[in-house]
Amino acid sequence: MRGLDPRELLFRGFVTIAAMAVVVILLLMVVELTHTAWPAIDKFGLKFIWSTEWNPPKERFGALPFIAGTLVTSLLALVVGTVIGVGAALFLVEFAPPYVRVPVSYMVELLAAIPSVVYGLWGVFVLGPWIQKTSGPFILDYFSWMPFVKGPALAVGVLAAVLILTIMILPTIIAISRDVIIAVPRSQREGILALGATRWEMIRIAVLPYARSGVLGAAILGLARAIGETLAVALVIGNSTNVPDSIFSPAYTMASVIANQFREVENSTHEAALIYIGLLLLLITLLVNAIARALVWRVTRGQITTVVE
Amino acid sequence: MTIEVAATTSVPATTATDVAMSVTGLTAWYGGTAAVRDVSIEFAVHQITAIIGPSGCGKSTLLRCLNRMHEVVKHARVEGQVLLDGRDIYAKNVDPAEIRERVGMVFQRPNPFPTMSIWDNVGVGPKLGGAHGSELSDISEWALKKAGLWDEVRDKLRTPAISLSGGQQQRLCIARCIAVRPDVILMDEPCSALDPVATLRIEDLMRELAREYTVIIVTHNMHQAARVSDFTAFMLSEDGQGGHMVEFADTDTIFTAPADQRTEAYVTGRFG
Repeated sequence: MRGLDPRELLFRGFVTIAAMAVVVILLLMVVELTHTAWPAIDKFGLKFIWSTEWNPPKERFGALPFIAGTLVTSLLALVVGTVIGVGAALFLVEFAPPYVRVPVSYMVELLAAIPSVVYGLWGVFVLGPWIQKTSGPFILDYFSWMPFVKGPALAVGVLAAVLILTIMILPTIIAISRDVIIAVPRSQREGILALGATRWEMIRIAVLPYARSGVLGAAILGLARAIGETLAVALVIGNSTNVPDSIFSPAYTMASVIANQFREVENSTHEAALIYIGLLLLLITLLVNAIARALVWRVTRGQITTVVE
Repeated sequence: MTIEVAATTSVPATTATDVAMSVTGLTAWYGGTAAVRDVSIEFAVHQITAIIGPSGCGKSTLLRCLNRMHEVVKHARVEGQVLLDGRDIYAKNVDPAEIRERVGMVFQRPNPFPTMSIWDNVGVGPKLGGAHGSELSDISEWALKKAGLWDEVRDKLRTPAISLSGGQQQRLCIARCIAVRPDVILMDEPCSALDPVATLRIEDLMRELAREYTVIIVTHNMHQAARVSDFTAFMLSEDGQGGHMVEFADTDTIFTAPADQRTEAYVTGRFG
Protein backbone atom coordinates (compact mmCIF):
# COMPACT_ATOMS: atom_id res chain seq x y z
CA MET A 1 0.00 0.00 0.00
CA ARG A 2 2.80 2.42 0.86
CA GLY A 3 4.10 2.16 -2.68
CA LEU A 4 0.90 3.78 -3.90
CA ASP A 5 1.23 6.82 -1.66
CA PRO A 6 1.60 9.77 -4.09
CA ARG A 7 4.19 11.42 -1.85
CA GLU A 8 6.20 8.24 -1.99
CA LEU A 9 6.05 8.22 -5.79
CA LEU A 10 6.98 11.91 -5.90
CA PHE A 11 9.95 11.34 -3.66
CA ARG A 12 11.11 8.33 -5.62
CA GLY A 13 10.77 10.28 -8.83
CA PHE A 14 12.78 13.15 -7.42
CA VAL A 15 15.70 11.05 -6.17
CA THR A 16 15.76 9.05 -9.40
CA ILE A 17 15.98 12.21 -11.46
CA ALA A 18 18.68 13.59 -9.17
CA ALA A 19 20.74 10.42 -9.61
CA MET A 20 20.25 10.32 -13.36
CA ALA A 21 21.14 14.00 -13.66
CA VAL A 22 24.65 13.30 -12.38
CA VAL A 23 25.18 10.67 -15.06
CA VAL A 24 23.68 12.84 -17.76
CA ILE A 25 25.80 15.86 -16.79
CA LEU A 26 28.98 13.80 -16.96
CA LEU A 27 28.04 12.35 -20.35
CA LEU A 28 27.05 15.77 -21.67
CA MET A 29 30.39 17.16 -20.55
CA VAL A 30 32.30 14.48 -22.42
CA VAL A 31 30.14 14.93 -25.52
CA GLU A 32 30.37 18.71 -25.48
CA LEU A 33 34.11 18.75 -24.81
CA THR A 34 34.69 16.28 -27.61
CA HIS A 35 32.50 18.32 -29.93
CA THR A 36 34.21 21.66 -29.28
CA ALA A 37 37.68 20.10 -29.25
CA TRP A 38 36.98 18.34 -32.52
CA PRO A 39 39.02 20.65 -34.79
CA ALA A 40 42.11 19.83 -32.68
CA ILE A 41 41.26 16.15 -32.31
CA ASP A 42 40.74 15.94 -36.05
CA LYS A 43 43.98 17.75 -36.83
CA PHE A 44 46.39 16.20 -34.29
CA GLY A 45 44.74 12.90 -33.37
CA LEU A 46 46.33 10.88 -30.55
CA LYS A 47 49.75 12.31 -31.46
CA PHE A 48 48.58 15.34 -29.46
CA ILE A 49 49.25 13.35 -26.29
CA TRP A 50 52.97 12.78 -26.85
CA SER A 51 53.82 15.77 -28.99
CA THR A 52 55.87 18.39 -27.11
CA GLU A 53 55.47 21.38 -29.38
CA TRP A 54 53.13 24.16 -28.23
CA ASN A 55 53.20 26.95 -30.78
CA PRO A 56 49.96 28.96 -31.05
CA PRO A 57 51.07 31.31 -33.91
CA LYS A 58 52.07 28.34 -36.07
CA GLU A 59 48.99 26.39 -34.91
CA ARG A 60 51.09 23.42 -33.83
CA PHE A 61 49.98 21.90 -30.55
CA GLY A 62 51.03 18.99 -28.35
CA ALA A 63 49.98 18.31 -24.76
CA LEU A 64 52.91 16.35 -23.37
CA PRO A 65 54.48 19.26 -21.40
CA PHE A 66 51.18 19.81 -19.60
CA ILE A 67 50.42 16.14 -19.03
CA ALA A 68 53.96 15.65 -17.72
CA GLY A 69 53.70 18.74 -15.51
CA THR A 70 50.38 17.63 -14.04
CA LEU A 71 51.48 14.05 -13.40
CA VAL A 72 54.90 14.94 -12.00
CA THR A 73 53.70 17.66 -9.65
CA SER A 74 50.66 15.79 -8.35
CA LEU A 75 52.38 12.43 -7.94
CA LEU A 76 55.34 13.97 -6.10
CA ALA A 77 52.94 15.97 -3.92
CA LEU A 78 51.03 12.74 -3.29
CA VAL A 79 54.15 10.90 -2.11
CA VAL A 80 55.41 13.72 0.13
CA GLY A 81 51.89 14.53 1.36
CA THR A 82 51.08 10.92 2.21
CA VAL A 83 54.29 10.37 4.16
CA ILE A 84 53.87 13.58 6.16
CA GLY A 85 50.09 13.30 6.43
CA VAL A 86 49.99 9.74 7.71
CA GLY A 87 52.83 10.55 10.09
CA ALA A 88 50.94 13.54 11.42
CA ALA A 89 47.75 11.49 11.78
CA LEU A 90 49.64 8.78 13.69
CA PHE A 91 51.11 11.40 15.99
CA LEU A 92 47.70 12.93 16.64
CA VAL A 93 46.03 9.57 17.39
CA GLU A 94 48.76 7.58 19.10
CA PHE A 95 51.03 10.06 20.83
CA ALA A 96 49.57 13.53 21.22
CA PRO A 97 47.93 14.43 24.54
CA PRO A 98 44.44 15.95 24.20
CA TYR A 99 45.70 19.52 24.75
CA VAL A 100 47.85 19.11 21.63
CA ARG A 101 45.53 16.94 19.57
CA VAL A 102 42.49 19.19 19.73
CA PRO A 103 44.09 22.49 18.66
CA VAL A 104 46.29 20.82 16.04
CA SER A 105 43.31 18.97 14.53
CA TYR A 106 41.44 22.24 14.43
CA MET A 107 44.30 24.02 12.67
CA VAL A 108 44.61 21.20 10.15
CA GLU A 109 40.97 21.70 9.25
CA LEU A 110 41.57 25.44 8.98
CA LEU A 111 44.28 24.74 6.39
CA ALA A 112 41.62 23.20 4.18
CA ALA A 113 39.53 26.37 4.33
CA ILE A 114 42.24 28.70 3.00
CA PRO A 115 41.42 29.78 -0.60
CA SER A 116 43.90 28.46 -3.13
CA VAL A 117 44.80 31.94 -4.37
CA VAL A 118 46.15 32.69 -0.89
CA TYR A 119 48.35 29.62 -1.10
CA GLY A 120 49.46 30.84 -4.53
CA LEU A 121 50.39 34.30 -3.24
CA TRP A 122 52.24 32.79 -0.31
CA GLY A 123 54.05 30.62 -2.83
CA VAL A 124 55.05 33.65 -4.89
CA PHE A 125 56.20 35.85 -2.02
CA VAL A 126 57.56 33.40 0.54
CA LEU A 127 58.10 29.91 -0.83
CA GLY A 128 59.59 31.00 -4.18
CA PRO A 129 62.29 33.27 -2.73
CA TRP A 130 63.08 30.61 -0.12
CA ILE A 131 63.68 28.02 -2.85
CA GLN A 132 65.73 30.48 -4.89
CA LYS A 133 67.95 31.73 -2.08
CA THR A 134 68.06 29.03 0.58
CA SER A 135 66.84 25.51 -0.11
CA GLY A 136 67.57 25.50 -3.86
CA PRO A 137 71.32 26.22 -3.59
CA PHE A 138 71.59 23.76 -0.71
CA ILE A 139 69.93 20.98 -2.74
CA LEU A 140 72.13 21.78 -5.74
CA ASP A 141 75.25 21.66 -3.57
CA TYR A 142 74.60 18.27 -2.10
CA PHE A 143 72.16 16.40 -4.33
CA SER A 144 73.05 17.38 -7.89
CA TRP A 145 74.33 13.82 -8.44
CA MET A 146 70.70 12.69 -8.38
CA PRO A 147 68.67 12.53 -11.59
CA PHE A 148 66.36 15.48 -12.24
CA VAL A 149 68.32 17.70 -9.87
CA LYS A 150 70.06 20.46 -11.80
CA GLY A 151 70.14 24.22 -11.69
CA PRO A 152 69.63 27.00 -11.72
CA ALA A 153 67.29 27.23 -8.74
CA LEU A 154 64.47 29.50 -9.79
CA ALA A 155 61.74 30.95 -7.60
CA VAL A 156 59.09 29.30 -9.74
CA GLY A 157 59.05 25.74 -11.03
CA VAL A 158 58.18 22.14 -10.34
CA LEU A 159 59.51 22.13 -6.76
CA ALA A 160 57.49 25.19 -5.76
CA ALA A 161 54.35 23.65 -7.26
CA VAL A 162 54.99 20.33 -5.52
CA LEU A 163 55.44 22.00 -2.13
CA ILE A 164 52.34 24.16 -2.55
CA LEU A 165 50.29 21.13 -3.63
CA THR A 166 51.66 19.09 -0.73
CA ILE A 167 50.53 21.71 1.77
CA MET A 168 47.16 21.95 0.05
CA ILE A 169 46.43 18.22 0.12
CA LEU A 170 47.76 17.67 3.65
CA PRO A 171 44.52 18.59 5.46
CA THR A 172 42.59 16.00 3.45
CA ILE A 173 45.14 13.26 4.03
CA ILE A 174 45.61 14.06 7.72
CA ALA A 175 41.89 14.32 8.51
CA ILE A 176 40.90 11.09 6.75
CA SER A 177 43.93 9.11 7.95
CA ARG A 178 43.28 10.29 11.49
CA ASP A 179 39.69 9.05 11.30
CA VAL A 180 40.60 5.63 9.91
CA ILE A 181 43.45 5.21 12.41
CA ILE A 182 41.14 6.08 15.30
CA ALA A 183 38.70 3.50 13.92
CA VAL A 184 41.18 0.62 14.28
CA PRO A 185 39.55 -1.49 17.01
CA ARG A 186 41.09 -1.63 20.45
CA SER A 187 41.09 -5.43 20.20
CA GLN A 188 43.59 -5.21 17.33
CA ARG A 189 45.94 -2.93 19.26
CA GLU A 190 45.69 -5.01 22.42
CA GLY A 191 46.07 -8.23 20.41
CA ILE A 192 49.55 -7.25 19.29
CA LEU A 193 50.51 -5.59 22.58
CA ALA A 194 49.64 -8.84 24.36
CA LEU A 195 52.35 -10.55 22.29
CA GLY A 196 54.99 -8.20 23.65
CA ALA A 197 54.93 -5.53 20.93
CA THR A 198 56.18 -2.00 21.54
CA ARG A 199 54.15 1.03 20.53
CA TRP A 200 55.95 1.35 17.21
CA GLU A 201 55.53 -2.37 16.49
CA MET A 202 51.84 -2.03 17.29
CA ILE A 203 51.52 0.78 14.73
CA ARG A 204 53.52 -1.06 12.09
CA ILE A 205 51.95 -4.50 12.48
CA ALA A 206 48.40 -3.92 13.67
CA VAL A 207 47.33 -0.31 13.09
CA LEU A 208 48.62 0.63 9.64
CA PRO A 209 47.74 -2.67 7.91
CA TYR A 210 44.25 -2.55 9.35
CA ALA A 211 43.81 1.05 8.24
CA ARG A 212 45.50 0.68 4.87
CA SER A 213 42.45 0.85 2.61
CA GLY A 214 41.28 4.01 4.35
CA VAL A 215 44.74 5.57 4.16
CA LEU A 216 44.85 4.68 0.47
CA GLY A 217 41.48 6.37 0.04
CA ALA A 218 42.84 9.46 1.80
CA ALA A 219 45.85 9.55 -0.52
CA ILE A 220 43.62 9.26 -3.59
CA LEU A 221 41.37 12.10 -2.51
CA GLY A 222 44.55 14.14 -2.07
CA LEU A 223 45.74 13.15 -5.53
CA ALA A 224 42.42 14.17 -7.06
CA ARG A 225 42.73 17.58 -5.46
CA ALA A 226 46.32 17.95 -6.63
CA ILE A 227 45.50 17.05 -10.24
CA GLY A 228 42.67 19.54 -10.43
CA GLU A 229 44.31 22.41 -8.56
CA THR A 230 44.61 25.36 -10.93
CA LEU A 231 45.21 28.81 -9.53
CA ALA A 232 47.87 28.25 -6.89
CA VAL A 233 49.87 26.11 -9.30
CA ALA A 234 49.52 28.64 -12.11
CA LEU A 235 51.11 31.26 -9.83
CA VAL A 236 54.17 29.24 -8.83
CA ILE A 237 54.97 26.72 -11.56
CA GLY A 238 56.61 29.16 -13.98
CA ASN A 239 54.36 28.65 -17.00
CA SER A 240 56.86 27.12 -19.38
CA THR A 241 55.66 24.94 -22.22
CA ASN A 242 58.72 22.70 -22.09
CA VAL A 243 58.71 19.23 -20.59
CA PRO A 244 60.46 19.68 -17.20
CA ASP A 245 63.84 17.93 -16.83
CA SER A 246 64.69 19.09 -13.30
CA ILE A 247 62.82 19.74 -10.05
CA PHE A 248 63.74 23.42 -10.53
CA SER A 249 62.44 23.66 -14.13
CA PRO A 250 59.55 25.98 -14.81
CA ALA A 251 56.67 23.92 -16.17
CA TYR A 252 52.95 23.98 -16.74
CA THR A 253 50.01 21.83 -15.71
CA MET A 254 46.93 20.98 -17.74
CA ALA A 255 44.62 22.92 -15.49
CA SER A 256 46.85 26.00 -15.26
CA VAL A 257 47.47 26.29 -19.00
CA ILE A 258 43.74 26.29 -19.64
CA ALA A 259 43.19 28.97 -17.02
CA ASN A 260 46.05 31.14 -18.28
CA GLN A 261 45.54 30.96 -22.03
CA PHE A 262 41.83 30.53 -22.54
CA ARG A 263 40.92 34.22 -22.44
CA GLU A 264 43.59 35.19 -24.94
CA VAL A 265 43.43 32.45 -27.54
CA GLU A 266 45.19 33.37 -30.76
CA ASN A 267 43.12 31.30 -33.17
CA SER A 268 40.36 28.69 -33.25
CA THR A 269 42.84 25.80 -33.32
CA HIS A 270 44.43 27.16 -30.13
CA GLU A 271 41.02 27.21 -28.48
CA ALA A 272 40.21 23.67 -29.65
CA ALA A 273 43.63 22.46 -28.41
CA LEU A 274 42.95 23.90 -24.94
CA ILE A 275 39.58 22.17 -24.84
CA TYR A 276 41.27 18.97 -25.99
CA ILE A 277 43.56 19.32 -22.95
CA GLY A 278 40.45 19.79 -20.82
CA LEU A 279 39.02 16.57 -22.21
CA LEU A 280 42.27 14.73 -21.47
CA LEU A 281 42.29 16.15 -17.93
CA LEU A 282 38.79 14.82 -17.41
CA LEU A 283 39.82 11.40 -18.73
CA ILE A 284 42.94 11.33 -16.52
CA THR A 285 40.80 12.18 -13.49
CA LEU A 286 38.40 9.36 -14.35
CA LEU A 287 41.34 7.02 -14.90
CA VAL A 288 42.90 7.92 -11.54
CA ASN A 289 39.59 7.22 -9.86
CA ALA A 290 39.27 3.88 -11.61
CA ILE A 291 42.81 2.88 -10.62
CA ALA A 292 42.11 4.02 -7.08
CA ARG A 293 39.01 1.90 -6.85
CA ALA A 294 40.85 -1.09 -8.23
CA LEU A 295 43.64 -0.57 -5.69
CA VAL A 296 41.25 -0.27 -2.77
CA TRP A 297 39.45 -3.36 -4.00
CA ARG A 298 42.70 -5.31 -4.32
CA VAL A 299 43.84 -4.29 -0.86
CA THR A 300 40.57 -5.16 0.82
CA ARG A 301 39.81 -8.25 -1.22
CA GLY A 302 38.80 -11.23 0.86
CA GLN A 303 38.55 -9.10 3.95
CA ILE A 304 35.57 -8.22 5.99
CA THR A 305 35.65 -5.58 8.65
CA THR A 306 34.03 -7.66 11.34
CA VAL A 307 36.34 -10.32 12.57
CA VAL A 308 33.76 -12.71 13.94
CA GLU A 309 30.87 -13.81 11.79
CA MET B 1 37.56 -8.38 55.97
CA THR B 2 38.35 -8.77 52.31
CA ILE B 3 42.04 -9.24 52.91
CA GLU B 4 41.43 -11.75 55.66
CA VAL B 5 39.28 -13.92 53.45
CA ALA B 6 41.76 -13.76 50.60
CA ALA B 7 44.70 -14.43 52.88
CA THR B 8 43.20 -17.42 54.64
CA THR B 9 41.70 -19.00 51.56
CA SER B 10 44.83 -18.71 49.49
CA VAL B 11 46.61 -21.07 51.87
CA PRO B 12 45.76 -24.24 49.94
CA ALA B 13 47.31 -22.84 46.80
CA THR B 14 50.60 -22.00 48.47
CA THR B 15 50.91 -25.22 50.38
CA ALA B 16 49.83 -27.56 47.62
CA THR B 17 51.88 -26.15 44.73
CA ASP B 18 54.29 -23.42 43.74
CA VAL B 19 52.99 -19.94 43.04
CA ALA B 20 53.25 -18.54 39.50
CA MET B 21 51.80 -15.13 40.20
CA SER B 22 50.82 -13.47 43.40
CA VAL B 23 48.75 -10.35 43.85
CA THR B 24 48.81 -8.26 47.03
CA GLY B 25 46.53 -5.37 47.86
CA LEU B 26 45.74 -4.59 44.22
CA THR B 27 43.48 -1.64 43.48
CA ALA B 28 42.87 -0.70 39.84
CA TRP B 29 41.43 2.62 38.78
CA TYR B 30 39.79 4.04 35.67
CA GLY B 31 40.21 7.76 36.28
CA GLY B 32 38.63 8.36 39.69
CA THR B 33 36.69 5.09 39.81
CA ALA B 34 38.14 1.97 41.31
CA ALA B 35 37.15 -1.14 39.33
CA VAL B 36 39.08 -3.49 41.59
CA ARG B 37 39.64 -2.77 45.27
CA ASP B 38 42.29 -4.27 47.49
CA VAL B 39 42.46 -7.75 45.98
CA SER B 40 45.00 -10.33 47.08
CA ILE B 41 45.27 -13.73 45.44
CA GLU B 42 47.85 -16.30 44.42
CA PHE B 43 47.84 -18.31 41.21
CA ALA B 44 49.27 -21.82 41.40
CA VAL B 45 51.73 -23.08 38.80
CA HIS B 46 50.25 -25.33 36.09
CA GLN B 47 46.76 -25.05 37.48
CA ILE B 48 43.66 -23.41 36.08
CA THR B 49 42.30 -20.65 38.25
CA ALA B 50 38.87 -19.28 37.34
CA ILE B 51 37.73 -15.81 38.35
CA ILE B 52 33.95 -15.62 38.46
CA GLY B 53 31.44 -12.98 39.44
CA PRO B 54 28.56 -10.95 38.05
CA SER B 55 29.07 -8.28 35.37
CA GLY B 56 30.97 -5.25 36.61
CA CYS B 57 32.67 -7.06 39.49
CA GLY B 58 36.10 -6.15 38.16
CA LYS B 59 37.18 -9.65 37.16
CA SER B 60 38.35 -8.63 33.69
CA THR B 61 40.14 -5.61 35.11
CA LEU B 62 41.94 -7.83 37.63
CA LEU B 63 43.02 -10.09 34.76
CA ARG B 64 44.25 -7.13 32.72
CA CYS B 65 46.41 -6.03 35.64
CA LEU B 66 48.31 -9.31 35.45
CA ASN B 67 49.99 -8.51 32.11
CA ARG B 68 49.96 -4.73 32.47
CA MET B 69 47.24 -4.41 29.85
CA HIS B 70 45.11 -2.33 32.21
CA GLU B 71 47.38 0.68 31.79
CA VAL B 72 46.84 0.73 28.01
CA VAL B 73 43.47 2.38 28.65
CA LYS B 74 43.67 6.15 29.14
CA HIS B 75 43.68 7.37 32.75
CA ALA B 76 43.94 3.84 34.07
CA ARG B 77 46.29 3.15 36.98
CA VAL B 78 47.15 0.44 39.45
CA GLU B 79 48.15 0.33 43.12
CA GLY B 80 49.47 -2.70 44.91
CA GLN B 81 51.85 -5.47 44.05
CA VAL B 82 51.83 -8.18 41.39
CA LEU B 83 54.65 -10.69 41.53
CA LEU B 84 55.63 -12.94 38.63
CA ASP B 85 58.08 -15.57 39.85
CA GLY B 86 58.72 -13.34 42.83
CA ARG B 87 59.46 -10.24 40.72
CA ASP B 88 57.24 -7.15 40.88
CA ILE B 89 55.92 -6.55 37.37
CA TYR B 90 55.05 -2.96 38.28
CA ALA B 91 58.57 -2.10 39.42
CA LYS B 92 60.04 0.99 37.79
CA ASN B 93 62.60 -0.66 35.53
CA VAL B 94 60.26 -3.33 34.15
CA ASP B 95 59.34 -3.18 30.46
CA PRO B 96 55.63 -4.00 30.03
CA ALA B 97 56.36 -5.60 26.63
CA GLU B 98 58.61 -8.13 28.35
CA ILE B 99 55.90 -8.94 30.92
CA ARG B 100 53.40 -9.49 28.12
CA GLU B 101 55.73 -11.96 26.44
CA ARG B 102 55.75 -14.01 29.62
CA VAL B 103 52.08 -13.54 30.46
CA GLY B 104 50.06 -14.16 27.31
CA MET B 105 46.45 -13.16 26.80
CA VAL B 106 43.45 -14.50 24.91
CA PHE B 107 40.60 -12.07 24.46
CA GLN B 108 36.83 -12.19 24.70
CA ARG B 109 36.31 -12.08 20.97
CA PRO B 110 38.74 -13.76 18.59
CA ASN B 111 40.99 -10.97 17.30
CA PRO B 112 43.23 -12.40 14.58
CA PHE B 113 44.93 -9.78 12.41
CA PRO B 114 42.61 -9.59 9.40
CA THR B 115 45.28 -8.54 6.90
CA MET B 116 47.45 -11.56 7.71
CA SER B 117 47.25 -15.21 6.72
CA ILE B 118 46.70 -17.96 9.29
CA TRP B 119 50.42 -18.71 9.17
CA ASP B 120 51.50 -15.09 9.66
CA ASN B 121 49.10 -14.66 12.57
CA VAL B 122 50.80 -17.47 14.48
CA GLY B 123 54.26 -16.27 13.56
CA VAL B 124 53.84 -12.61 14.41
CA GLY B 125 54.75 -12.98 18.10
CA PRO B 126 57.90 -15.10 17.62
CA LYS B 127 58.94 -12.73 14.83
CA LEU B 128 58.76 -9.83 17.28
CA GLY B 129 61.10 -11.82 19.48
CA GLY B 130 63.56 -12.19 16.60
CA ALA B 131 62.72 -15.69 15.36
CA HIS B 132 63.07 -16.30 11.62
CA GLY B 133 63.61 -19.03 9.04
CA SER B 134 63.18 -22.61 10.14
CA GLU B 135 63.06 -21.64 13.80
CA LEU B 136 60.03 -19.49 13.08
CA SER B 137 58.23 -22.12 11.04
CA ASP B 138 58.97 -24.80 13.66
CA ILE B 139 57.50 -22.66 16.42
CA SER B 140 54.45 -21.78 14.31
CA GLU B 141 53.75 -25.40 13.42
CA TRP B 142 54.28 -26.47 17.03
CA ALA B 143 51.89 -23.80 18.30
CA LEU B 144 49.20 -24.71 15.77
CA LYS B 145 49.49 -28.37 16.77
CA LYS B 146 49.41 -27.47 20.43
CA ALA B 147 46.22 -25.47 19.87
CA GLY B 148 44.65 -28.43 18.08
CA LEU B 149 44.30 -26.47 14.86
CA TRP B 150 47.04 -27.94 12.69
CA ASP B 151 45.00 -30.67 11.03
CA GLU B 152 42.26 -28.23 10.12
CA VAL B 153 44.47 -25.54 8.61
CA ARG B 154 47.60 -27.31 7.32
CA ASP B 155 46.35 -27.14 3.73
CA LYS B 156 45.35 -23.47 3.84
CA LEU B 157 48.00 -21.77 5.93
CA ARG B 158 48.23 -18.92 3.42
CA THR B 159 44.55 -18.04 3.45
CA PRO B 160 43.36 -15.03 5.47
CA ALA B 161 42.88 -15.81 9.16
CA ILE B 162 39.39 -14.38 9.12
CA SER B 163 38.23 -17.03 6.68
CA LEU B 164 38.18 -19.42 9.67
CA SER B 165 35.12 -20.01 11.82
CA GLY B 166 34.81 -18.21 15.15
CA GLY B 167 35.94 -21.22 17.16
CA GLN B 168 38.89 -21.82 14.85
CA GLN B 169 39.80 -18.15 15.08
CA GLN B 170 39.85 -18.35 18.85
CA ARG B 171 42.09 -21.44 18.75
CA LEU B 172 44.30 -19.55 16.30
CA CYS B 173 44.52 -16.75 18.86
CA ILE B 174 45.50 -19.33 21.48
CA ALA B 175 48.16 -20.67 19.10
CA ARG B 176 49.37 -17.12 18.51
CA CYS B 177 49.57 -16.64 22.27
CA ILE B 178 51.53 -19.82 23.07
CA ALA B 179 53.88 -19.30 20.11
CA VAL B 180 55.50 -16.59 22.24
CA ARG B 181 56.20 -19.30 24.87
CA PRO B 182 54.62 -17.58 27.86
CA ASP B 183 54.61 -19.00 31.39
CA VAL B 184 51.10 -17.82 32.16
CA ILE B 185 48.06 -17.63 29.87
CA LEU B 186 45.29 -15.19 30.72
CA MET B 187 41.89 -15.83 29.15
CA ASP B 188 39.23 -13.15 29.29
CA GLU B 189 35.87 -14.91 28.75
CA PRO B 190 37.41 -16.74 25.79
CA CYS B 191 34.22 -18.60 24.86
CA SER B 192 31.65 -15.85 25.20
CA ALA B 193 31.44 -15.35 21.43
CA LEU B 194 31.43 -19.07 20.56
CA ASP B 195 28.82 -21.77 20.12
CA PRO B 196 28.65 -24.74 22.58
CA VAL B 197 30.66 -27.14 20.42
CA ALA B 198 33.47 -24.64 19.88
CA THR B 199 33.30 -23.82 23.59
CA LEU B 200 33.87 -27.47 24.55
CA ARG B 201 36.88 -27.69 22.25
CA ILE B 202 38.42 -24.62 23.88
CA GLU B 203 37.74 -26.06 27.34
CA ASP B 204 39.47 -29.32 26.40
CA LEU B 205 42.34 -27.25 25.11
CA MET B 206 42.58 -25.39 28.42
CA ARG B 207 42.96 -28.67 30.33
CA GLU B 208 45.61 -29.67 27.84
CA LEU B 209 47.46 -26.38 28.22
CA ALA B 210 47.36 -26.52 32.02
CA ARG B 211 49.90 -29.34 31.94
CA GLU B 212 52.57 -26.87 30.88
CA TYR B 213 51.13 -23.45 31.57
CA THR B 214 49.53 -21.58 34.41
CA VAL B 215 46.08 -20.68 33.14
CA ILE B 216 43.94 -17.90 34.58
CA ILE B 217 40.48 -17.58 33.11
CA VAL B 218 37.77 -15.00 33.64
CA THR B 219 34.32 -16.34 32.95
CA HIS B 220 30.73 -15.33 33.52
CA ASN B 221 29.80 -18.97 33.00
CA MET B 222 29.80 -20.79 36.35
CA HIS B 223 29.47 -24.18 34.69
CA GLN B 224 32.58 -23.50 32.71
CA ALA B 225 34.48 -22.57 35.87
CA ALA B 226 33.23 -25.76 37.55
CA ARG B 227 34.17 -27.90 34.52
CA VAL B 228 37.67 -26.69 33.84
CA SER B 229 39.24 -24.97 36.84
CA ASP B 230 41.24 -26.23 39.79
CA PHE B 231 40.75 -23.08 41.85
CA THR B 232 37.98 -20.54 41.77
CA ALA B 233 37.90 -16.97 42.96
CA PHE B 234 34.59 -15.20 43.44
CA MET B 235 34.52 -11.42 43.09
CA LEU B 236 31.75 -8.98 43.83
CA SER B 237 31.23 -5.24 43.66
CA GLU B 238 28.72 -4.51 46.39
CA ASP B 239 28.92 -0.84 47.21
CA GLY B 240 29.90 0.60 43.85
CA GLN B 241 33.47 1.07 45.08
CA GLY B 242 35.11 -1.58 42.94
CA GLY B 243 35.10 -5.33 42.98
CA HIS B 244 36.71 -7.21 45.82
CA MET B 245 37.51 -10.84 46.45
CA VAL B 246 34.72 -12.55 48.37
CA GLU B 247 36.13 -16.04 48.43
CA PHE B 248 38.98 -17.99 46.92
CA ALA B 249 39.37 -21.75 47.29
CA ASP B 250 39.66 -24.91 45.31
CA THR B 251 36.85 -25.24 42.81
CA ASP B 252 35.09 -28.13 44.60
CA THR B 253 34.83 -26.13 47.78
CA ILE B 254 33.49 -23.04 46.04
CA PHE B 255 30.77 -24.98 44.25
CA THR B 256 29.84 -27.50 46.97
CA ALA B 257 30.68 -25.98 50.33
CA PRO B 258 31.40 -22.26 50.01
CA ALA B 259 32.28 -20.48 53.23
CA ASP B 260 30.57 -17.24 52.33
CA GLN B 261 26.80 -16.90 51.90
CA ARG B 262 27.21 -14.52 48.96
CA THR B 263 29.30 -17.13 47.14
CA GLU B 264 26.66 -19.72 47.77
CA ALA B 265 23.93 -17.42 46.55
CA TYR B 266 25.88 -16.73 43.36
CA VAL B 267 26.91 -20.29 42.51
CA THR B 268 23.41 -21.59 43.13
CA GLY B 269 22.11 -19.00 40.70
CA ARG B 270 20.22 -16.77 43.11
CA PHE B 271 21.74 -13.61 41.64
CA GLY B 272 24.19 -12.44 39.02
